[in-house]
Amino acid sequence: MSTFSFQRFFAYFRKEIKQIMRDPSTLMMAFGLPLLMIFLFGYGMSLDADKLRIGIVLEDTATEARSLVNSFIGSHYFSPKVGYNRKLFQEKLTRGDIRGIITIPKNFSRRIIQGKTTPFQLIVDGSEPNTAQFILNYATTVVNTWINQHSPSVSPDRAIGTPLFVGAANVSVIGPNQSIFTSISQVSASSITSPSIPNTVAFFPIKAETRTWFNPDLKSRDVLLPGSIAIIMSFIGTLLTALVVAREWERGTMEAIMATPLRMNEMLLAKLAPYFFLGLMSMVLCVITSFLLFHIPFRGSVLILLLSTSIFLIASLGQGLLISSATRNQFVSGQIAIMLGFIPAFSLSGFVFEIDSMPKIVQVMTYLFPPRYFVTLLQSVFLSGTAWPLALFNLGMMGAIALFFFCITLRKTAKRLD
Amino acid sequence: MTLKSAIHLTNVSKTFKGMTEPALNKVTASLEKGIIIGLVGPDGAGKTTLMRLMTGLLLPTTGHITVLGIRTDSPRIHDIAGYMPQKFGLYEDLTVIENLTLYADLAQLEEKAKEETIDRMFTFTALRPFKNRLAGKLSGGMKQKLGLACALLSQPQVLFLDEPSVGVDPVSRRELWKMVQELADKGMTIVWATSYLDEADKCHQVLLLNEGKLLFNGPPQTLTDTLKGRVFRVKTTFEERRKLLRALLNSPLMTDSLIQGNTVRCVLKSPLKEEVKGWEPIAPRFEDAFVDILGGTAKGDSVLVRDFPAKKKIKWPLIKAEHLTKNFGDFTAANDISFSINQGEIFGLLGPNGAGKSTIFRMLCGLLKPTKGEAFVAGFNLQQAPSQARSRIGYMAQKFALYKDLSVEQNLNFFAGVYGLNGPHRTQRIELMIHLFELDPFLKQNAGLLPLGYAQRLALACAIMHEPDVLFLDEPTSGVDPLTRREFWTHINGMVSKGVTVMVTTHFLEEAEYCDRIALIYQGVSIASGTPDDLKKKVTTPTLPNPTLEDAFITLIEQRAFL
Repeated sequence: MSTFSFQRFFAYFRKEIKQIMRDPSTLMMAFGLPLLMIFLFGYGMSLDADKLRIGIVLEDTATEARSLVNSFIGSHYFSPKVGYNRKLFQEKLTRGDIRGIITIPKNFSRRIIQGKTTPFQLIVDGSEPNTAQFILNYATTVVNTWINQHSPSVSPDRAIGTPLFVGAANVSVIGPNQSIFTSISQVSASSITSPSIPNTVAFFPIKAETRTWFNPDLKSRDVLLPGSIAIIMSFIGTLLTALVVAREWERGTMEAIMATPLRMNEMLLAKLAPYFFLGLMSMVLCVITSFLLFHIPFRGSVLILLLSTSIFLIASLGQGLLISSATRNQFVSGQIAIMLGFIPAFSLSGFVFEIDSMPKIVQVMTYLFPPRYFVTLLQSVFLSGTAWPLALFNLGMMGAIALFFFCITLRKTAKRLD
Repeated sequence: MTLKSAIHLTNVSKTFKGMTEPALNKVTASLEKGIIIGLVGPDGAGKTTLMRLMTGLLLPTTGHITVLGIRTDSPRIHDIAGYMPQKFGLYEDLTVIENLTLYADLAQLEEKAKEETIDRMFTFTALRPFKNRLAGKLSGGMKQKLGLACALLSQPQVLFLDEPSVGVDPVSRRELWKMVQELADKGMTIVWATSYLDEADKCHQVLLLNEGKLLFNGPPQTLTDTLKGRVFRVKTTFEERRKLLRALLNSPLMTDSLIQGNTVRCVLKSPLKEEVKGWEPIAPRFEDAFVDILGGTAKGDSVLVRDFPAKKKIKWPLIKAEHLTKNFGDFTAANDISFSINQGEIFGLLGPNGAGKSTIFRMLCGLLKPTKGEAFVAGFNLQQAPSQARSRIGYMAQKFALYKDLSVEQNLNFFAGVYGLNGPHRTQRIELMIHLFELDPFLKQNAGLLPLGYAQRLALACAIMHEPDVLFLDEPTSGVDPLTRREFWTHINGMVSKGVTVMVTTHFLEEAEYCDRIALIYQGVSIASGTPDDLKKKVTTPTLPNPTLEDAFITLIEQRAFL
């Protein structure tokens, strides 16, 4: 009885390498596909809204109103069109040309100067809930910033005895067929510190100093790209090996190979190894592209990155091998690989959809798929830095799944034809 | 257990999941050491299953098998056995030497032994000049040799070859046989599954399987001897031979009849009591015994003869090739080929793999455009009126090009549509085909699940539904057992009697005997043509007074090759 033979392993390993080098489609899959996908994810997929198209109806043309408008124009969040006709903008909103309307009412400037609570109206398109939410938040930010910046320019004597500004926004969210009046919210308070009027002003004494950790600019791309690398690797990893065993069945070489002393564990390892290195190279390609092209930060340890990629690859490649051995048919195998490699990775990994907001049962399911752990690992390695306890847990779980796949595959590919 | 036996099968059965009938049913046999053992039987008899069981790739449902004392469920079986599966098991994207090195390493040969063995294999197979060629670019015969070499690298004591000669030309088949014979002489035990019964004749021991049961186990001669005094050659004329064949096949006394040149070879159910004039007793072959043990051939009247409409008599040639030449780059696949085929003739294109048969065939069907020369079918020039010409052609491709997932009825409907039949005419044609080929009970069954004989009928039905004047058959019975092949030719003969013209390519030289005329193609050139008897006469010598068509084929090609 022969034990593990390195001669047989390397013979088969060399054969796989030669076949890979001679098969442009495998190389395409390992290098072309990840590049294509990272471009798609990097350029095409962003949860940030930039240059949101809105309309500003200016019913007051005095200095203060214009100054607020300029704040909107100056902000990179918005690309506003300024006009005087409310109706015109409403039509545009209905058509979807713009996503929101800000109306600065008559007497706005006067009321500001008088220090009165000054409403302005914000209407957003509720048929695009994400964008609507962005406009609400960003508009609030712009107004707040304007208040802060504007305060020194409000002349002290005019401001004496008055709270500088208490803005009130009249916010409406409209859907295609409805106009839902949601709230009138107090847009956060003034923070004027005019020392001369300490006693007469009713202002809020608290100022929140916010810090966003790990992704200070709140750039969604910085979060999405590491996640998408996980998706890409899951896809590539499964697809790379999904075809290789099935191919041998279809071409009849499996039968001949099985009749040699080659052992199944030698064969599976020899099939895994070349694709493992190929997968690592795809990963390097993805990481370099994210750096150079998309300027993704890297704050964690290279060791964790390498470890997690390796373990994840073994799991994905193992999954591919399992599919391939079970179907023995390249076409079916490819289909299943795309389904199993991509869909759970996309929807159950927390990459786009927050796991915490899923139903409990689905949350439990996410633990069964390695992409969940890989997404977490990659996001932490890129954005937050080295966190061994987190890393160890995720690495361990992925390792367990990888081992599971390998054992099942080994059992599935017994040296028998039936 | 005697020392002499290499393989023991003890009450071996194998039932696959989902099948009610066992693929192999209680087979008990012992196979001798150091000889070539033939494994024969019709398609679906269980040959491949038995091969896989003996190599340990399948485990028996009941019973057990030992090979040189090792049970097949032990992994050690693969240390002593070499196996060449049907598709040769070569990596087509690796070169010859890379394939050899892979299998040598898998057999764990040491560096020095590896070099020596591979070197010996190069000498043995004469593949050294093709060392760096990709296996996928080798001809069928060379692939087969390389497959054999790969199976031999582990220096096995027992060698299993599963139908190594399917789709390979007679020259390559003979070479392979010689190589295997050499191995057996050195003491190797070889199990050779085959559907070529002339190969079985040369084996030392034969196992004959049918429907999973072992019908015969012993030297082929023992079985052949049971037919002594029952095989005759009946002289006839060239014109009358098909009629005589039909008459003989229809006789209740007959087990089997075959055309051989201007004679009909027939096997009787029992020996003749007295001599009959013109009936010359001849030595039986294993194939006769094979057909006999399996119950004899079907009756001689094709159902087609009854109701298939006869063609109008035409004087001019139905198929005409004029100086057909086809170049692919600087390679000439067909060079100045000319012939003409008259109505009701069967014309055979023979030649080794890669000789250019398919190229000529495709030019005549209008699938390839000739570089030079012209082709006419039913009076239409294939260049100028390809669609008219094609509507007169029926084409039956290798391995019955049927849609396996469609039912019999759907296949018929599909092909009726393809040939542009519609309306009541279409319904009537389909009904005629169902009636002619007795497809009624199978109408709703998927074509992939049909018994082989019926799949063949359906394929033929699809090809002749539009009443073509000309029928093209491309290796119609490749890999098909002798019984099914005879049934097929009964149908073809029936069609020919109605005035249909047939052109056929084949590797089975026995099949070529049905042809009226043959063109032997080699390296793109027609090197000989004439009736089967003409070709045989060309190679008749004092040492070879009664050459077979295969002898003629091989001699003529060798003569040409040494020029």
